[in-house]
Amino acid sequence: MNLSPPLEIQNLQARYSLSWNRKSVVALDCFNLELKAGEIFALLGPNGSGKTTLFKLILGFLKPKQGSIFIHGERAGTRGARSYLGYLPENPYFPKYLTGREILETYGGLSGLSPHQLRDRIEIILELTQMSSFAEKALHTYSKGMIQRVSLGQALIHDPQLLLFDEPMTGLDPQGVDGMREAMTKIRSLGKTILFTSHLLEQVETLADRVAILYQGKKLVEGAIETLLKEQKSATIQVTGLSSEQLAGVKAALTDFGATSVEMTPSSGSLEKLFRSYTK
Amino acid sequence: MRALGFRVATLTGLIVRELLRQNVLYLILIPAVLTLLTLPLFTALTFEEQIKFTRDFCYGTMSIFGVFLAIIATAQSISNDLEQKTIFTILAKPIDRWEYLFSKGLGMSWILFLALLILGVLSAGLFALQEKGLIEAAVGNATHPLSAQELQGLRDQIWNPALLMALLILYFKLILMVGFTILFSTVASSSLFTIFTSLMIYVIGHLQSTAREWMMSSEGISVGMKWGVGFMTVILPDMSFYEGADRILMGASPGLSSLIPSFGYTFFNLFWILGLSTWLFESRDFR
Repeated sequence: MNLSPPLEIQNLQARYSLSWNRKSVVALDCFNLELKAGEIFALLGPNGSGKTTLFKLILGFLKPKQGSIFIHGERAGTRGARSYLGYLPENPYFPKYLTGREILETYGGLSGLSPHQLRDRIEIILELTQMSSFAEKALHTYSKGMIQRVSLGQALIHDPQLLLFDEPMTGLDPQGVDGMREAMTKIRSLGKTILFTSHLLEQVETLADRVAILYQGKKLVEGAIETLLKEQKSATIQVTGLSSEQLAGVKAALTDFGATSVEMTPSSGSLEKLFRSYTK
Repeated sequence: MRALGFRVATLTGLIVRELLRQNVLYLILIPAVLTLLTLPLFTALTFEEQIKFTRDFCYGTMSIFGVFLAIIATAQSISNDLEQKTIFTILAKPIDRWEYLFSKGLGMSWILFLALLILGVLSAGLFALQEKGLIEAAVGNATHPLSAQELQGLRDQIWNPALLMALLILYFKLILMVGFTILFSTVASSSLFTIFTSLMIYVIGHLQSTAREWMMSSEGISVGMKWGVGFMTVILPDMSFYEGADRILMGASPGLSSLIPSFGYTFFNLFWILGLSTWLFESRDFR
């Protein structure tokens, strides 16, 4: 068993140049991250904040300007590192004439699985992704939700330890979202680590153990959702900058406003509020 | 090693299936078949002329459409993966980029084999259709009754087994063009650029030996220019290595050893092309 962290990113910087004027744009800057085995980690950020770029760096599709990425101790971009990775892209494309089962066979074969290994593995995946009922149909008959399940299946086919899901719930109907959430929970229960991005903050709140918020290539905050939400409340008190006497005044004022209790007990806000407070 | 075999076999199978479903294959293959089917329209020639014409016509058709198929289908196959972003799900798997390129080449080789087989069988059918009429014409035009040996000689001219070697030489040439097209695809952002550059390289490849001989024999050529010509000789294809096919079409029946230059040249070039393509593809960022 590999005891190295599923993902270890140190001082990562990525740039790309705009072809028309060669101006260099920082896509990610001084980015550090370490995932724990078996956790679900969500990357939040507005469009263009660097989330997909980070995925591409982890997969080796892009090369960092500086810094390092290790997946279970293997440098990102190597075949060894990719053997630990399963990737579900935001807009997956597969040949439409293949059936769901053929897609799994193809991507299993690309992962180096023998026909014998594939037979057993496909049955497990069909059950996990609940695609048994339509696995023999061609992809051109599939709905968005079905394609997403096939995409999830191909990501899992070689039994990777770290899953990268780019907007896995985007475009799905409520049942599809529920199905994906259920699948992700099951995957975590199998000891796998999931790193995913999403704009559906309510879903993130119920699924993720930890989150990080990215904005313009920088990580603004990282931590367990519960802790961050509590911190958000205490931060509201901190920004007032009040002395104890003044706090006492606030309490008195609250009482004057008709409050029956002025005890400041931390209550959780929403992840959406937290996100907006950082990215406004 | 077994895992490598599974990966390459799977990717090659996927590419062959994709190509068999691409319109480009049929858009090139069907006109080639139709062109071959016009052969019976050209019959007002002597026996020798008709044999020579039939060989040239069939081989020329296979050569022209084969080159188009090798270049266009290869260029489209790679650019489709990039445009439709299939490449992200493929290269996210534990597969090396050289395996991807190698499998593309292997898949294209299968398709070209299939295309040449179809066109070759069709050509053989056309030869068979012409055989009876040609021999009857030769017998009718003969000043004396032809002996069994002379008749067999006529048949041997029609069914020269060396024509299969000419087909094999053509196959090597087409595989080389697949290699060059893959090389250009690794840096190109559009299939149009790849197709145009590969076709240009093909034409240059046919002119290279003539240009080289002319330059080297010219007086007053500088040492630097000679080096330049030498360098171009190494990096550009030299299609004169495939002239063995032309000699066969002229009626020669060489031994199997005559395949060595075209075979050796093709696989030597494919070796460095795959190396350079891999290096360029490894350096490429996929946004």
